[in-house]
Amino acid sequence: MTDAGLKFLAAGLAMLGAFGPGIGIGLLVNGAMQAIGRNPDAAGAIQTNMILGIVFTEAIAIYALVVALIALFV
Amino acid sequence: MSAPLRGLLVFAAIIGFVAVVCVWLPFTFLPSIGAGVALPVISLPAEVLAGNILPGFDFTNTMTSLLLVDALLILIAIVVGRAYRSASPDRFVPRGLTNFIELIGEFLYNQAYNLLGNRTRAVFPIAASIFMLILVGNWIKLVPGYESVGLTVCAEYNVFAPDTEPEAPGQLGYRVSGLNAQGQPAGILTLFNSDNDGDGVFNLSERAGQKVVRANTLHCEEKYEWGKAPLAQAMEDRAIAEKRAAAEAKGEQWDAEKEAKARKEYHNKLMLKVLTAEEKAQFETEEEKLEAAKEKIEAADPDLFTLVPFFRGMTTDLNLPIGLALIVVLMVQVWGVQAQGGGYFFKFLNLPALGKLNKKPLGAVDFIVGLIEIVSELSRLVSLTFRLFGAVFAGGVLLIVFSFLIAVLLPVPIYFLELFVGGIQAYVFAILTIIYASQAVVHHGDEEHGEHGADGHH
Repeated sequence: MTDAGLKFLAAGLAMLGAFGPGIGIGLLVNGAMQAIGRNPDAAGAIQTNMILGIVFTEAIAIYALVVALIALFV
Repeated sequence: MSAPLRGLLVFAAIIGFVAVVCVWLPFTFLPSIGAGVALPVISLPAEVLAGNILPGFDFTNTMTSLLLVDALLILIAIVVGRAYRSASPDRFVPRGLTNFIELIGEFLYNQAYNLLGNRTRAVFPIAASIFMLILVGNWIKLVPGYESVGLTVCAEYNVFAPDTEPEAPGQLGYRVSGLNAQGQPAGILTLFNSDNDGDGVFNLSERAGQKVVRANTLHCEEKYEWGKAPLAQAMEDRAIAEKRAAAEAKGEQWDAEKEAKARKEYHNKLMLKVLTAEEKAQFETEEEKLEAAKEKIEAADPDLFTLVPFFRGMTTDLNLPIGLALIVVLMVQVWGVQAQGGGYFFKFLNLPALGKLNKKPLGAVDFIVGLIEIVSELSRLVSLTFRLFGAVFAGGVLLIVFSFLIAVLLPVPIYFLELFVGGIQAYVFAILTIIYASQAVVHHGDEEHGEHGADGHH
């Protein structure tokens, strides 16, 4: 395997880090949807907080992505 | 004609258009005229536009972008400020831009006030400024042409240091569509990769092409004198300046002759990089090696260029997010001290807990938690930086990759996604500033009261 091939492989492996955030965002939205179902009046506030939570969770995936991009392009 | 049938026709037309533009054109027609399709050159560090404007300091395209955004923000501030000042305060109805800015400001201010209360006045201006800066920076980068108009420089500009081996796989370049009156490449660049090893395959992974691309670059720079990348020029100038400083430190006289010799040596060093290890082993003397390198360079195709855009989204350069994050983390300490005085630092070095060890031995835990607070402060720096940088840079790469896969229609929803992400990242950065500030200005005494209350229950 060439060095460049290893690079692509490394980038792919780094993206395994998106595994956890994927589950996390799923759980987050699950909770938010249930909350909206129980209390539709609070949908606005719940949605804002859900998006905030998603962004923080997504940040972990973005770290993995940054590692992958660095492996690919630097 | 019925509506579904007309819809079917429109759908077929779209599919046909996409098939021609995205399949036939890049994969059948273009290779038949001797060009291939490749991903454009993506560079993680910002590209240098002008080297050595201060000693050792290069001016990059993210800096022009930042200056543009600054100018834009100042303009907005002047326009909106004038609108407020010119009207009577009780009958003023904001419209257009003023209304939009007021909407953003009010939304952010309410959030800040809920968290900060009477400390809002100190924190809000910085949080809001950061929000506007990031928001405008992220959105302006989506304007067509923003990251795609720039200098053409000979390919492989970013791995041009003589002391580093090129790491990028077969460096990609753009082939120019025509020549101008001076015989220089002109017109719109087309996004092709040269067939580096001559096997007729145009792909991303032409590993063998590395040395050949270096030859391309050198040949290109020889042919088009202006094609030299600013970064390459800056690196050369710095290497020469170092030599000069070393010579002058030894008390030698530095003259034009010596400079020419140093530059020649530098060029020879670059030329030798063209040869592979096996090729180098075939020759003994330096002259023979140089001769072989020169032959290889002259056989190479010089018309390969990459682009150094004049503007590039400013948050796609790690330096801006890290700068903003440093400002935020430092200012949070300042706000903490403003609110609590020197006692703020007991949060990190919990001396009161250590002093009361004889009464509450578990205070040792509080002390260690305080030390961990220092780490958490540093991790804020890292998370603020990489969240912003990663989201925006990855968004740019996503746009490039999608436009490469299917150039029409498909990038449109990605653009909307990028608008959303740009806004959300700006909002998150600002709201985190406010949250960190609200944690810093809260007095720790409250916690102690809580503990006493809990003790009382036992």
